[in-house]
Amino acid sequence: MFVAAGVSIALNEDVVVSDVSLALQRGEVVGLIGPNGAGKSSLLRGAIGLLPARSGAVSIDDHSWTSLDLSERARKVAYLAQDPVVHWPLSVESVVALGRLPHERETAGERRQVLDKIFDEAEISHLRERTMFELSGGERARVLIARSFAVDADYLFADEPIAGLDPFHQLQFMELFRDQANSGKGLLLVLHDLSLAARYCDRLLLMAEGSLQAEGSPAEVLTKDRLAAVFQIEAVGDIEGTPPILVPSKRL
Amino acid sequence: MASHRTQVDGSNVFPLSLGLTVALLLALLLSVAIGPAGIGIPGVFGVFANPTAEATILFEIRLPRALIGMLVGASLGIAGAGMQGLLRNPLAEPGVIGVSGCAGLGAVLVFYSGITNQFALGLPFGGMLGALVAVWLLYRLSGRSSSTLSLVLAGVAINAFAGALTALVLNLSSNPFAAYEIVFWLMGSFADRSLQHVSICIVPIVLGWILLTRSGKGLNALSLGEDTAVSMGINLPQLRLAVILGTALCVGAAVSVSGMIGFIGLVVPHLLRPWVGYEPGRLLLPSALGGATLALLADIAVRTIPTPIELKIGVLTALIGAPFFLSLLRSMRRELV
Repeated sequence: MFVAAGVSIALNEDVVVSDVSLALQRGEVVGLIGPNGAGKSSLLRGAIGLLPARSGAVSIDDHSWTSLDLSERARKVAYLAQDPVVHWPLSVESVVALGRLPHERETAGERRQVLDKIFDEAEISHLRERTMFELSGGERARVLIARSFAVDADYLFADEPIAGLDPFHQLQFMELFRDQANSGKGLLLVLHDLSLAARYCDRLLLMAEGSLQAEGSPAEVLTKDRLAAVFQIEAVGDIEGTPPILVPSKRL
Repeated sequence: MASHRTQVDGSNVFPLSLGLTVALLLALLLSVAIGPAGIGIPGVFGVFANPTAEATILFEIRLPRALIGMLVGASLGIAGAGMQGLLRNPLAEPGVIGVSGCAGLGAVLVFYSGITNQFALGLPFGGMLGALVAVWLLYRLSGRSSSTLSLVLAGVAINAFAGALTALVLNLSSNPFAAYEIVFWLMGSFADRSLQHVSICIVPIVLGWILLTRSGKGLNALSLGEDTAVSMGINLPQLRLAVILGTALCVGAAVSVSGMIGFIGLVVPHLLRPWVGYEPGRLLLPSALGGATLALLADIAVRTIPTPIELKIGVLTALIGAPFFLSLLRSMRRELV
């Protein structure tokens, strides 16, 4: 279990996350939602030490996060940045293969096997020989999600992973995240699509202004009052339906 | 730049390095065979069988010159590739972080103080000291943050300051002959170097190479941004220190024995990048081999181009490198728009 207790983070003296606690089990998909500027990205980065936290304690499977060295941490939690950059026209193959960096001891054959499986699952084998600069935004996003799968860490923290994808691939990748959880991984996803969050997440964490506003099942968290108070919207649809639908309909 | 479309597989790196090694050996042979004494390639092999006065010329004049050329060229190539990987910018040169400028300043101060009259090796020591000061300043200014931008800005500031101080020293020089000597030395050359020069620069240069080659994995990860690299287990402060210190050691020592030779660190990695699939980590070794080859070829050119006074190699590399830099800038802008 990944546990962050009482995390506070300041950027240039502005407190962007204040006293947030969260726990993530293996086998579950947790959605982190909230308006822009709520501190979701900072929480994600701060929880795994990419941003210095002002206070708070993080532990993973009963080990203190700070007691682990960097490559142990890398095998515990994979991280997918929001709008990840690629600085050189690297091939798709080599970008996904970079995800294997924390597994230095594996043989070339083992690596090939893992990568083949990921290219298959993510359905990007046809892009394998292309360079990253030749891809569309959505294709690039799919390759970079595959890179985060390649790390094969126990947990995956992904910051708006499906933001640039078309509806088909949004569903495809939410299903893939679900599959990852079913195979025993814990996933923390920053999401903006309330319907998809309600449909694919076991639990939701709702953040606003740097602190946690609500936590629980999608139906518990996405109430009419909270949508009004936190997002300043009204939404139509049925959160209890199959699939759950929640479409913003009106600004308040 | 059209080569973006060529997919080059990883298996090409070994043949590439092998090809570059062959090119380097040929350039080395040519470099020791060419000169006013007219030894020629058969003569080079002849001295091993039959030592004569030609052997003295080979071993005491041409070989040190070629060795310095190889050490300096390889250092500039590998440091260019390393800096470009760290800063994720193909325009980054060893000079960008101010190491060349400070190494030049250190050597100039030694010149000006007249220490060279009593102590022949004062010059290389001055250069390396300057390079170390540059690294120390750079680390004080940007060491604790992980931002690349602050690194570039600190480098630009250090470089500008080193340039200003060098100009000040020249300005205040009461001895016009010394100022003239300094200006000429700064232009860069491998001429009249001895094995003593080789022995003083080789240790820091090889240490620098080791630090840089060990950074390959981290530089590859850095292609995906700093956060992603750290999340994959890369120790970012350690990586930056290794690349900066490696650059300082080999470029500092190189500048102190050869003066300032620009653009090798820019041109060589740029030409080789498509051959290694644009992976910055795999670019390091080929860039060292290519840099050494290019430096030897440029040195052969300055010796064979008929000019009243021998051309300085730094002048030649700048004449070819500056237009190259401009065309690179132009094509980059086209790609970015």
